[in-house]
Amino acid sequence: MRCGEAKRELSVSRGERSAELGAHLAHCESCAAWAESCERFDALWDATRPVATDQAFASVWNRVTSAGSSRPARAAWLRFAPRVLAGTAAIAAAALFFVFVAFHSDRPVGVGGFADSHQARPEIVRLVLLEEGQTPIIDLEKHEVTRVNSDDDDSLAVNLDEPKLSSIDNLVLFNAFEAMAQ
Amino acid sequence: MFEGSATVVSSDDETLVVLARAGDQVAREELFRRHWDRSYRLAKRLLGREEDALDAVQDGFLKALNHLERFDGRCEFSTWLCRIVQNAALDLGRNRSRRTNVGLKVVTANGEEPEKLDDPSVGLVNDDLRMELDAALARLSPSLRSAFVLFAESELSYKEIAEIQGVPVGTVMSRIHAARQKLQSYLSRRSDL
Repeated sequence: MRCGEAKRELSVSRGERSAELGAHLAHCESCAAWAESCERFDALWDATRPVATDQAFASVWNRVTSAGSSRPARAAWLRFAPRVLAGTAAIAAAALFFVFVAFHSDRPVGVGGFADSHQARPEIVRLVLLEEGQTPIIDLEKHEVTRVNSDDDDSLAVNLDEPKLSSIDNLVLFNAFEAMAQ
Repeated sequence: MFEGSATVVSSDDETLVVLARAGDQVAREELFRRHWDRSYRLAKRLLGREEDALDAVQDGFLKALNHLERFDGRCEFSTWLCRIVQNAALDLGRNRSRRTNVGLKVVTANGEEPEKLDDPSVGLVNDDLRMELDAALARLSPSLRSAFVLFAESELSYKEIAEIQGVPVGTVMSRIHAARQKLQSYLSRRSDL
């Protein structure tokens, strides 16, 4: 038996030794010293073996039970969470789509809704109540109705080709004329 | 300590696992009681600090008891649990050493690590063999330390250690031998071992 093999066997054995190892140790001082070192180390290992207290036992068990009691519910929730979230997202997306389609389908292209414009530029919108036969005069620079003419007044002057006419102007015009008497 | 029924207490681990899977709290308690001591000793040897060991045992048991369906019976329950506690301890050790030891590695002029650890408390208790042993274990790589502790403290067979570490039995024996050489070499410089 070679010294390397002997030392390796001594390292991994739990007290039992083969006859071949015993014979080797009888005439090899180096391996005998290694065997003695292993025995001292094993004695130190046994002498320092950790001992758990009852207090530690109870403490850890309490932590395990308290954490474990809430964990199954959480795990169950997590198991279904992706499906619940995906379903909710799909329903929300579908709802938004239908709202969008319903809101935009009955309106001329390029003309925003009154509510939209009111939110975007609330300072330029002013409610004007028109009676039958009245005509609004709109200041396109100020984006507001400056005057309301009666039926016999022919001074209506709204220039739809105004270069600065924007969608919001269109909106004001659209809503204003919508309010006019047919 | 527990109010387990006599039937449960006399059952083997596999039966307890089946009962625990079905929600039997007494079976869970019995599994904990039966494997607590060995798990604690394993974690304590791997980590050194009492608080860390208790945290690792807690993590390990939580993972094991909450995932009993993953125990497939191909090895002993104790072996399966040892693997979980070992992994919990090594994870915890890695995280805590990463937090506390970043930038603290000290080497001498010739590139070797000094014999004394940087922690002053270690210097104060140099005569305490347990601290010396813990310090020596802490110097080993996780794979060497784990192989040796599973062998010497958990008293698992080479085959069981090989299953836990996912390496051949020969590698386990080499690791145990290498670990013992390093431990005894380190301690012989520190004491009269």
